[in-house]
Formats: sequence, C-alpha cells, structure tokens
Amino acid sequence: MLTFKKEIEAILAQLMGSPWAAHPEVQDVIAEYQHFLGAAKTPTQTRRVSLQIFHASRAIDSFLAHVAGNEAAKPGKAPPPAYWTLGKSLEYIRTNSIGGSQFTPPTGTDLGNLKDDRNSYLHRANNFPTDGLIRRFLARTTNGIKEASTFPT
Amino acid sequence: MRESRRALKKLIEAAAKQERHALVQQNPFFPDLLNQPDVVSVPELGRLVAIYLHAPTQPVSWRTVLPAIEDLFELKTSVHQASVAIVVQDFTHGVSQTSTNSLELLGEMFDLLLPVNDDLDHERLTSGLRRAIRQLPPKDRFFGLWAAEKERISKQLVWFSEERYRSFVEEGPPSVRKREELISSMANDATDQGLHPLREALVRTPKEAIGGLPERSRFSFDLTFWDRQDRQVLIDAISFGRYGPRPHLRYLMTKARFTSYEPVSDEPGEPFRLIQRHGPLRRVLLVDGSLAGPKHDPYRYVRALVSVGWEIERADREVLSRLVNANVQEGN
Repeated sequence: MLTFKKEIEAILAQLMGSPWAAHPEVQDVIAEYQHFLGAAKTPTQTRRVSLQIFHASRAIDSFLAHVAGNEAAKPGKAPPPAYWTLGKSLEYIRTNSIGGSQFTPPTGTDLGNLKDDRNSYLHRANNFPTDGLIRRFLARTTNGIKEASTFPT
Repeated sequence: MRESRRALKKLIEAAAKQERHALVQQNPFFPDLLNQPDVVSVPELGRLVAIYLHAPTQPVSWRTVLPAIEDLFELKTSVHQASVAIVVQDFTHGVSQTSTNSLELLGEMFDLLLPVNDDLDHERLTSGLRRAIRQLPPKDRFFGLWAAEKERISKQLVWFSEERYRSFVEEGPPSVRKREELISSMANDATDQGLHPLREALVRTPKEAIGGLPERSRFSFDLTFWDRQDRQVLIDAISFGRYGPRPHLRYLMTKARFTSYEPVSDEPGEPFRLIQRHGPLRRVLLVDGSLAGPKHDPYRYVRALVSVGWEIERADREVLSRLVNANVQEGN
C-alpha cells in the first residue's frame, strides 16, 4: 500500500503542477485529492474503502467535467450536454478531443469500465470490494486524472 | 574530492526546500516513469520542476546518456510538456572519448544541465537550482516533438493487451540462452529461408541533429532482413538474467523513439523539421527471460516497450515465420 500512497502523492504533484491547476474548479479537485490521500489513514477498512471510493469518484467526475466543459466553452466547439456525468464527459472527450488530445486506448477502456465498477459498489447494499478490486478501481481513477492533466488547456 | 550520490541528493533536496514552494516531494513515484526524478517541486500552482541526479560510476557515454534522455521523454510525454526538467550530472569519472556528442545532446535537450565535478561549489549549485526552480522556462522548441511522441505512443498502445503478452510476465527461471546464441540461431534460419539477413545493422537517427550537433554515431541492431511486404525488420536480442530487464529498458526505449523519426529540411540551410520516419521499419525485441514488472503492475515494462514501437517476440521455432509473414503494425 506504500507504493500506492506514493503514486497518489505523485499524481497530486502532477495535478498541482499542470496548467489546469490555475483554474478554480481544479483547485477543488486538488483539495478532493488531498482528502483522498488523508482517507488512507482511516483505521476501519470498510470506512476507509468507502471514503476512498467517494473521494476518488468525486475527483474524476469533477475533473473530467471541467476539462470537457472548458473545451465546450471554446468558440466553434460542440455544445455541452445539459449536465455532466462521467459517461457524458468521456463521450464528449472521445468525440471531440481536448485540443487534439485523447485518452490512450488502455486508459479509455479503463475509464469506460470504471462506471460499471462504481455502479456495483455504490448500488448494492453491504457490498465492499476486495483490496485487489479497490486497488484497480482507484488506479483507474488516478490514471484518468493523470492523463487528463496532460491535455492542453 | 568526489561527493557521494547521497550527499549530492541531500544538497538538491535542501535547495528545493529553501525555495518558496506549494509542494516538494523527495523520491516521488510516478507510475509511468521507469526512472523517477530525485526531487519534484511545485513552486506554485501550474508549475512543476523535476530534478534528476545522474551520477554514473563510469565515464559518461551514450550508454549512460541515452537512459537519461529517456527520463526526459517520459517526463514530457507522461507528466506534462511544460514541466521543467533539470539534470544534475556528475562528471567526476570523465567523458568517454567517443561520446562527447552525447553530453552536448543532454545539455541541449534538458531544460537545464548543472555539471558537478571534483571541485564542486556547493553555493553555486544551490543558487543555480533555486533560480531554475523559480523561473526557468521549459524549452518550447521541443514541444512539437513531445506532442508527436505522445500521439505516436497512443497509436502504438492499440497493440497492447494483457492477454497478448501474458507469457512474457510469468515468473520463470532467469534466461540461460546468451544473446549471441539467440541471434546466431535466427540468422542461420533466415539464411536458410533465403532472406539474406545482415548481422549488425546501423540506423541513422536525428538524435544529434535534434541538438544541432553533427552526426557522429548511429544505432546498431543485432540483425536485419526484409519481410514479405518489403519492410525492414530490425532485431535486437536480449537475454534477461537474474537482474531482470530494468537495467536495459531505458536504453531500449530511447532507441525505439529516436529510430522513429527523421529530420527534414525544406530548404538547404533552413532549420529542420522532425517527421515520423517514412520508410516502413519494424523493430523487434527477441526476448529470452521474463519481462515482468513490479508485482502491482506486472505489465509495466511490456506496455512501455510496446508504447514506443517495439514488437516483442519469444525466441521460439516459429518466430521467424511469424515475423516474415505477419501483418502487424508499421513499427513506427
């Protein structure tokens, strides 16, 4: 778990150091990521996992919504949907790209799978993923944030 | 007197912390970087500075510089092209006579090279680092290269799947077949099939031109022949023993990157543009031994090699037939 903690810290540095960090909405994502890091210290496993899923989900949802919304606000770009969800953000990025950039194929696939994973954790009572599954889920969210932070602003 | 690597690293960390910062990380862990920066500083939101300390225990040469350049490629394509990359290079053991160009290339490509030698001036190094952390801009003349490379990686990764490369990451005993043995065997088979293989193929690349330097060296591959679709197949054999693939990886990565481009000048004397190589060319890594990455991400090394354009193959009986007849990626 130490390696994973270090990965999260590095992604936080990447996010803070990217040109996106100047946007106020992204500063909220940075704050969310700091909560995500802090959640690792929660002693009870079920509570820790719940918090990690909660913070990681809010971070990826908000960041991709901001990235896609920022692109949609540029002149001549495709209009945004009525509201942003993870699926709609992914769809917008896949269809329109962000300044010509896209997710790499493995990350695009992972982010598509993320929605299904999350639905299974969030909508089934008393269902907590195993350590391996939570690790994969969290890795997918951090990969998505990591790649999206390299998109041109 | 030569400073130890540890002492140099402490000095770098102290300099980064002395400067105003939003975040400083020692020994960070970016999952996509094969070699980590020693220190990362975010002096303010929107600016990231990565500092690498390279302190080889032998004279500086292409073999030590090319892995360092791989660090730069990875930072610029995987973290952000606007990240500032600083290399603190220890020259205490001198520079190999045949590789003087390599050092110049390092200085040209990194955003800043800070040399360290026997008579190290601590104050000068500290003030140079602090100034760079505060205000050094990234070299924007390379932004086109980083963007092109990022796009190329994305295309290459279509060829990656865990299923396809599972056998390469399975734990197994270290390789027992020597590199020379692998190549000799393949060369003999290729001759038998009338492919007219050549042992040792030299490939021109723009690596020195990128730095505005005269071309003095080329990349060497172990074997080459042309496949049924008239594409040149360049083969390197590698045998991973008890220390695994890590020591070789960064060199192989840069080799694939540089052999993917060629410089083009529109007019004589005009600055060149870098374009992806036109000639159909395939780079094949013939592997004996395991390519398994760290336990939590066993496919890391395979994915990295595929992302820069290596086709990875096992040295089995059918490999030659697969290579000659395969309808695979363009290799660029």
